[in-house]
Amino acid sequence: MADVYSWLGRKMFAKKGWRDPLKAPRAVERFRADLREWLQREVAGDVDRLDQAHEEAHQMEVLRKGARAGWLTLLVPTRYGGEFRLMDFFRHGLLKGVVFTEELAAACSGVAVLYGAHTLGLLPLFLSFDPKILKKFLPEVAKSCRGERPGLFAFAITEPSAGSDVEDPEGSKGARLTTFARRKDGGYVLNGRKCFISGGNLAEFVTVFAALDKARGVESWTAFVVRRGTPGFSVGRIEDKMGQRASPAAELIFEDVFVPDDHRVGPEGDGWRLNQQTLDLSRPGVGAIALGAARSAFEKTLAWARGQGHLSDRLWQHELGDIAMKLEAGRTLVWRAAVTFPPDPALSAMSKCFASDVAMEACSRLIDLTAPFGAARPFGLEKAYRDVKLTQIYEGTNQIQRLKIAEPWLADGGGASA
Amino acid sequence: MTQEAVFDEVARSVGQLTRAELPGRLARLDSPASAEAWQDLAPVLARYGLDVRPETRALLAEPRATARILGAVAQECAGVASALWADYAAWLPFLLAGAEGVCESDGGGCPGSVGYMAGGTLRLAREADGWRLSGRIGLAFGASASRELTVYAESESEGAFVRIAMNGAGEPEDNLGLRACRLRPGLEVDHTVVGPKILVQSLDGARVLRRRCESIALGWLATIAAANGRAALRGAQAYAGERYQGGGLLAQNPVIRHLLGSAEMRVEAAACLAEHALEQTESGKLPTLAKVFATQMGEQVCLDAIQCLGGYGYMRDYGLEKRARDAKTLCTLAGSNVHLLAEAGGSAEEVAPRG
Repeated sequence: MADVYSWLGRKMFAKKGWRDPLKAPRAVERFRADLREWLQREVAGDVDRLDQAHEEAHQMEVLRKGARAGWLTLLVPTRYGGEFRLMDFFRHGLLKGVVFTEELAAACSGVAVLYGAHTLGLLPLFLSFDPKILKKFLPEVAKSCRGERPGLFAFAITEPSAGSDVEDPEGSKGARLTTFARRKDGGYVLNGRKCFISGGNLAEFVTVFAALDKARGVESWTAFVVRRGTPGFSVGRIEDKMGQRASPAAELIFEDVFVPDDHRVGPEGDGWRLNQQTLDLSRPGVGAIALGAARSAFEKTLAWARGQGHLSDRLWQHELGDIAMKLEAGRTLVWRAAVTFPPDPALSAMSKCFASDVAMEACSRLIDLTAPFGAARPFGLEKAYRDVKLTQIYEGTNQIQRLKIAEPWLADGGGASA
Repeated sequence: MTQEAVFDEVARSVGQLTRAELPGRLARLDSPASAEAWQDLAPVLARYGLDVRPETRALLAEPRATARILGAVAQECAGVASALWADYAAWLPFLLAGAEGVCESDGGGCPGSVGYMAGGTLRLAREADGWRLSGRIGLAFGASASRELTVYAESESEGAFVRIAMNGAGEPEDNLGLRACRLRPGLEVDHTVVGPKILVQSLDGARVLRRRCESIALGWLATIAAANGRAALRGAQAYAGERYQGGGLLAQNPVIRHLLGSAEMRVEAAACLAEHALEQTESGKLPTLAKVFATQMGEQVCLDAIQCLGGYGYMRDYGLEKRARDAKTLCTLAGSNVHLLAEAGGSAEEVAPRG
């Protein structure tokens, strides 16, 4: 019977060009295999040290290795010296991106964020559809990635008194913004603070969102690229986080920072759109980080259970089966969001929210299952537990994501069905 | 001094301890240097009456009174409460059997000097000059500076609680949480016990005593988990009452109110079940259910409290991430929740209703 099934599969589906929508194309799978090999060679040995100590030089070294391998220029078009080909995007959407992120997170989710924050910082430039700004910064990024200090981007929206507010359209109306830009000859002057900015202290360029008008708040939000070393721009405290410790979260301080006109991303007042569309594109990636970390915890547990002879136990089979099912459901949703273009905001929110929730549940249950060893550091599950928790928080808490999912129904007057 | 007077004095002491002594020590107790931090803390705990001294032993044998002490300490630091838990649980068989005098260790009851071995049974054999103990202890848990361990061993006709030295145990592991304590992996035991460090009973008597001790220990853990969750909830409530979001106080946001209400329901249910379990320590099943329920609820409440604070909740400064790590580690003590539930589900014992 099995032969009949495989014959049917070959003759009736494969030959007709039918493709399993839940299976990555061969090119993406090849990319995954190369990436795994690289991670094993270049990152696996550093994970403990990256988790335990904040060493900027060490984090920079990991970035340098990634830059040389081409991981920091995946979004930079080939014409500017990067790896991005439009045809690939038409073929796979963001699938390659979420596979990349999941694999990085399976090795170390802090490293996934270290690289991912760079992508996040670059996205508003693409979404501005302004060739001048792309031409201004992308060749420099590509060139620097071949040198000693990669030109890393960071994405700065969160403010000390406006976290979820700047990720939630409803909440944004009452947001207490503290970062403002005012017009000056030939550019703008920025004042204010941003907090929890991933890679903010390592970045060469920061995409900063600032309001032009206090009364209009985020409606007047405008994005700017601020270079490291610009007078008045400094890095404040580096946060001591529960997990994802390979990726520093920095406070950024702007005191009368002059930004020239040609560093503005998109027109004035376009910041809110750029912010929302950036997050719509990146949220499936957050889901992929959660799934990568949880998958790694699952694989460690499976190997241990096999070694201990637990796999013949029905309770173990039931627990592992249930966890695997939920992670696979999360991956399905992340992949669906990744191949949907233009991104569906509600689907992006679902993918981030569901994948991070099931990943958190998975890590928690795997620690229970392997107790008491699973809570000890060398086992590796406790790191996944600490790391995954952040995926339920950043880019909008999962509470905000649920409201985001409900948003289209409000636009329809609240009467439309899902 | 009456038992009530001793209890009142200790309760007052614990209040003072958590206000004055613990807050400044939390960061060191939650670090790989926790063994040194514990060495500094132990005499302070003893000064506040939390050691196992002759006047407080009767109190420790009263499960609900001890639960109140552990709960009060856990409101400040679940790691310290868990180290005391391991210590008290290790003393319990001797206290309940009225045989504490036979087991004075070199530490003389210094807080955290004795660790707890969950589950597992060593082999016991009578020899001419004492008792021979052999077998392997999978894991011991106790304060990061504990030097001794209470273990349980059985022969064909007798059961024994024995205090042994921790020498030879593996290097302590760094945990996800409760870092004032340490897990110590694999300890091979094969030596003769001579002298007063052993309590031997008939096999039936020893098994009944062991079951009662384990039930009390599970009830205490449930209390610690509920107290840790309650403290996380209070932190989230305080934040929500001060933080503006979306043009209003976070505490006015219906989503956050629902989250906090749900957390409060879980904490109170866990605390009630823990208290109920400690009234029925002859039962093996109810304390098991209470431990699983309270630790699961405690974990969920701490994770929800972090959500309430958003990014701030994830940062060490706010203390909630430590509460969550502690809560998850509590789930793993004294038997994994998955296996404890399967064990309880297979037991024919009926749980008596409350009251």
